[in-house]
Amino acid sequence: MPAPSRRTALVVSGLTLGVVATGCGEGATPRPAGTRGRSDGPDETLLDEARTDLVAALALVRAARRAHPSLRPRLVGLQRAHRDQLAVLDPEGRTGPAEGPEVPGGAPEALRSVVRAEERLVRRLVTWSVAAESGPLARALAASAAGVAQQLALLEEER
Amino acid sequence: MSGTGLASEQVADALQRVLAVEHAAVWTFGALGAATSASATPLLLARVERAWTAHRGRRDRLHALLLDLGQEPVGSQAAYAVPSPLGRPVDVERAAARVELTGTQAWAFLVASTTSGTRRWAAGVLGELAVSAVAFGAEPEPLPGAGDLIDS
Repeated sequence: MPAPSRRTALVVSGLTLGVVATGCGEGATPRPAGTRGRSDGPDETLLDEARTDLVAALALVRAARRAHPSLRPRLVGLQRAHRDQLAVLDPEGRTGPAEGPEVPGGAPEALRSVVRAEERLVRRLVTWSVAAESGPLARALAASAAGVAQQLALLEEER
Repeated sequence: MSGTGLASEQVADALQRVLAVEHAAVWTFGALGAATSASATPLLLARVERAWTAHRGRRDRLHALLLDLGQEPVGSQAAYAVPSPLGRPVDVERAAARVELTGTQAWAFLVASTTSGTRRWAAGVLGELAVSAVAFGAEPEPLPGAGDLIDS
């Protein structure tokens, strides 16, 4: 993961403070989106969960690519997407590495395993987005889910 | 359902902004459909029509939500700038992808500006638009609609 810039660190702290501009064309203004304007516990907890799931997803994709060279080109987009999502949601790399995931011995089974894990990740990211007190955090989580959905659609196209 | 705990003006403002984007999308996909040959590129026409139908549905639901909030929904403009050129299927695809990507920004904004059921709907639409954009040939993004969060 690339070293986080100062801007990224500010953005991610803003995600849970609810003070990042959400943007909708020109003239968009920063605004708090939650009732409290900021949140301490719940958003931090769900952000930690999201980070943990993203790290685990990235680990599985990397392991599948390592175990099955034939999957490398097909899964490179997912790997990049997760790396960039983590650069936003966890710029300081606070989340520890995932335990070595088990990868099925056959490439088709490994791919199915990755797809199942990613589909679950999309559902969880949307659930956390809905639960987030902070609007900017909700936006980042929903956008991450959409980014994974794009990769899943591309994988489906290639089948 | 929308805006639990949020200022209703804030929710209404966000819904109005997204409705304006959906008006433009409905109009533009109509133009794209008119520029697409049913005989030469039936699959592309089917995808354009599906997108048009989906945008109409979103527009109508946004309209209804605003009425529920006691707001007068923003109307569509008489016309919008026609994407150009549209002579080849690839032009239509490129224009369609642009519309969907614009939509991801608007709906990501709605995610941030609403809560509960409306936010869930907005997050779902954001995903649909992101997938539709790549189906029309857009490059995938790690955070569709929130690219501003990524350092360039």
